[in-house]
Amino acid sequence: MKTIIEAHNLRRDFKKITAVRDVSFAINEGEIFGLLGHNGAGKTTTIRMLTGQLRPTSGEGAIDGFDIATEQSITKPLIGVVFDSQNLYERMTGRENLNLFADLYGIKHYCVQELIELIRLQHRSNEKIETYSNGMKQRVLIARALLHNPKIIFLDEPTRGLDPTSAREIRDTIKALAKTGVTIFLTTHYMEEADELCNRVAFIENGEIVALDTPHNLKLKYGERRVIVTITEHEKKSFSLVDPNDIQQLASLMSNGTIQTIHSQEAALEDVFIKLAGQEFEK
Amino acid sequence: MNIKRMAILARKDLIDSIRTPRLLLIIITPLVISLAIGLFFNDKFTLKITLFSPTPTELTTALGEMEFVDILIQDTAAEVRLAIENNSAAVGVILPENFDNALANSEFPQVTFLLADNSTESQAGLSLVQQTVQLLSPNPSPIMSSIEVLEPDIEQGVSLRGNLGKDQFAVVMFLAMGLVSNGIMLVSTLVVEERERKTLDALLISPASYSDVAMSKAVVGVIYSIVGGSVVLFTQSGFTGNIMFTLVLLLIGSLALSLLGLLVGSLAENIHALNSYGGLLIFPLTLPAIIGILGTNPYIHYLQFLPTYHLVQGIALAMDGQAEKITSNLIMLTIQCFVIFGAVVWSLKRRETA
Repeated sequence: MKTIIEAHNLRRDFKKITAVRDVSFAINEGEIFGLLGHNGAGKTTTIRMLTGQLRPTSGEGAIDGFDIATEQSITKPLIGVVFDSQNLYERMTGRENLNLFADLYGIKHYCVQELIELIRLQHRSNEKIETYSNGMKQRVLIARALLHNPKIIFLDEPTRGLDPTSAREIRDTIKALAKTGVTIFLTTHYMEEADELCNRVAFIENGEIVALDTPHNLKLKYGERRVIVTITEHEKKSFSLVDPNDIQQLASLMSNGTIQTIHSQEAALEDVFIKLAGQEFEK
Repeated sequence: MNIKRMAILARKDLIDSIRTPRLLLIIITPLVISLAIGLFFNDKFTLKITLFSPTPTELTTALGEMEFVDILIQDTAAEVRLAIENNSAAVGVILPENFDNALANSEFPQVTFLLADNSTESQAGLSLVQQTVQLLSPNPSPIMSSIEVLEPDIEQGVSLRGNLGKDQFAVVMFLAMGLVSNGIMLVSTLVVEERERKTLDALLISPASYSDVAMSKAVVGVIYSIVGGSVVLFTQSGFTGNIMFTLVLLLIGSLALSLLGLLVGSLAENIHALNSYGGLLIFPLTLPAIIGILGTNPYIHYLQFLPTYHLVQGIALAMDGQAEKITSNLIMLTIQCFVIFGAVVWSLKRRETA
């Protein structure tokens, strides 16, 4: 499979602070890649370097084989970005916002109409952005990033601050996009979201990538396989499936026939991260 | 820089400025003040001459018939002096008894002129009276003149007003204030707001460069400055003298001030910083216009490094039809434009390589 995003020892210093520390990874075409971490872990700085908004202090990065620092005129049309802030022109309508960027990309306005229909904003497209809900604004941001049919979409915290229904809509849109073959680079706080959407995830902590694999492999590698056993209405026990003592106790309970119910307890991505980073994520 | 992308961004900012109350206020405030003052204080330029003659004279009639002359007849020579001392008139004229007869008989009557100061207004008044006397006599030098300037020291120095009266120069002052407001505050606010709202990030991901974004804001500043300036000139009867030079100065002046606004916007990190920098800049930039309206000032030439100095002086000269004297103002303003442009290029490169 073709590699479309590459980072090799990417580093960014802000005066005395190192925001991103020699980060390396490769992302394949059509993949949904998640970069997970706390606030200030280095997610947005990594995105800003890959999208050409910040020059790396050292290291190299490439988009579809083109250097992110020196070949921006080639890399810019290949990428679309949904920023972590809802940076739309509030006093312009949704349609005007999209038309502006269509003009900058040299795209006909009928394409804007198609996108407006795709994000289901036909009835509100001629109203000012300041009257939109957060979910609607987020949909406009996604439409703006898609205007020029980019190969890669960077989504920086796309569901932050959204109600569950809007967040679900955005996740469905991301899934639909992935089906069209677009590569998606996603940062999020929400572990369930990353687990649901991403083919692979990387955990970033203090500017360093501490783990990178598929969510399944990470859970297997770092999570603990356990079962919850209900013995009576008020008595439940948890047993590890890797600890020999726990396995012996579980076998004993099963042979006695005292178990009412038994449930597997799979490790969640959040547990993996807590184990790796030692802190709990914002829910 | 890409002209097409600059035009797209400038069109967006032109519309956005009108829709944003804060920016709209910056654009219309100088216009509203100028129009209001024009509406409520629509005094035409008048030359105030005070005169004492012991016997009736044709001179008062001849001067009184002039539309722009306001003549005040005094009962004594002392009252003429008092009127000049009180700045009630620019020129005082004390005639001898039987002035008209003496004039007709070529007796070269002694006339005393009292000037408030050495201002162009006083000098113009003196010249006007002398020319009117000339018309009443067949002789080339019909009178013996004695001229006394009451406050000669005050008027030593430079006058940016030239031959324009205060009322006419007020148009230049409002024009300069409008250009400073649109150039400095509007342009810099557009730049800073783009950065604060983070819409700049979105634009920089698109094919637009930081230079495209920044220069489009300067274009918006120039457009609003020219439109606003033209409205001020049109409504306040400012299109007099050499109109072409006035418009050329308006264009170069707006460009210089808009580039200065761009520089301020590039350096200011947020609106609070901008309000501080902008406020600090606006006052000195409007000084030449404010000092200019007061007349001659011995220290005003220290402000020559300001683009508004040459703008104000140049437009005053153009309105007075003295096109031949504008060259140095045009050259200085153009040089200043290039210097500011150089600073803007430096700040843009600094931003783009950040």
